[in-house]
Amino acid sequence: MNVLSLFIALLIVELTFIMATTSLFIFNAIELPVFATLTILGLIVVILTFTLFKLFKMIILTNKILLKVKGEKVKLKEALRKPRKRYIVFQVVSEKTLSRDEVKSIIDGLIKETFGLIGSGNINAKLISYDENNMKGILRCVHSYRDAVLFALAMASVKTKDKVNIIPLKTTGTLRKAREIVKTLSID
Amino acid sequence: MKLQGPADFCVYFRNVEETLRTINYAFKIGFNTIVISLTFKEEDDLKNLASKAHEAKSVIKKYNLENVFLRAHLIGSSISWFKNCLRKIRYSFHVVSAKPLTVDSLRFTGRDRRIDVIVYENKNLSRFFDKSQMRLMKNTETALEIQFNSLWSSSNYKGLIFNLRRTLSLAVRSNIPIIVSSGSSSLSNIKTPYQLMSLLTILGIPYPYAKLAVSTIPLSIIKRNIHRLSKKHVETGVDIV
Repeated sequence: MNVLSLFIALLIVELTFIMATTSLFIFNAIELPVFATLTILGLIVVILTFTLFKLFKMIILTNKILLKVKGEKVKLKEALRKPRKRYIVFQVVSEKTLSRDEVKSIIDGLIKETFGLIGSGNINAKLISYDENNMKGILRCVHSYRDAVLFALAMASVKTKDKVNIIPLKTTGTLRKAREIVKTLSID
Repeated sequence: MKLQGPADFCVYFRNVEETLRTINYAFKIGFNTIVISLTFKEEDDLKNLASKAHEAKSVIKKYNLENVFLRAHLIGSSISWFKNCLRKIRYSFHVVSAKPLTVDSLRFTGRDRRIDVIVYENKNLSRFFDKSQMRLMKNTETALEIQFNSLWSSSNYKGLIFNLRRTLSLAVRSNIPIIVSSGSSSLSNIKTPYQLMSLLTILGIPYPYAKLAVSTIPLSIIKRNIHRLSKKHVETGVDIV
């Protein structure tokens, strides 16, 4: 039951009581001292009910705020938790051999251009290693943004007008496994 | 070999060597089925397409390429040209796709059952991929294809992403099958299945839908057409047992 409707019901009962005593006094059924006592009693009860109503309302509001704060705290806890990482093993397809710095600038530029400053900050991509001989490398990113990174890598051929293509070969959860894949996986 | 996904629904045929290299590389990066696309425009000669198809078929036969299929990609604006082409080439290709250049031809391709796939066109017709087009496509079980490499031909990426998101959500709501293909012609623009899926997930399409777009839907179209081209098939729902 709603607190407000309970308060209104109680108020109606109390006002009816006061009206009844007044009408009894008008028709001389009760004496003046009795009427005065009853009326004062009624008014005290009305004031008490109003105070109780305010108190209940405050308690409910406080509980709601406490719940909200608790939810925010849980959210904050999740945000503060160390994000999981994904390691993307990729291969660069290009006519000329690209250096580590060139690949790094291409990837950083692609991610920044595709997702902007905030997006690239969230993705937190980092070139872990790159071998110039076989043009394979490992790229680290936050696990929830793996698709975003794959999309940005797919845009490489579009941005460079088919001069450079970055092909993601495998995605792993550990750097050790990613290094093993770089050594073993060959698609040439 | 059993037909299985993921499938690259569009690898353009330029020349034999380049296409062979692309197909081999596509198999290595994770595709199990590949569809070679032969483009046919209004100004082209039909004999040229036939010779190209013959060349592609001989390559498939010579190198014993399994799970490689042929597709005719029609680009035109006239309805009569589309009708004429479909009458002549429908039975020589596994898949027939269309890229209409006018609204009339777009509506016609949506209505014709011989066309399996309509390729999303960004430049002028993007706003005509609306509810009525989706209704037409739903009735004829035509799929909507998005070619990754062809999408970015214009420089207006903002408008492209806005229109594409709208069209894709309309297609998902109307139960239109969506296909994402690479539209590649060489090693320099080939894409992996996960990269193709990422295009849809970036645009807000749920992951299961994106997965369907790269594997299940292209395979179902190929299977349907293999059955249609077989001698057992008489009509939809009528087969010789």
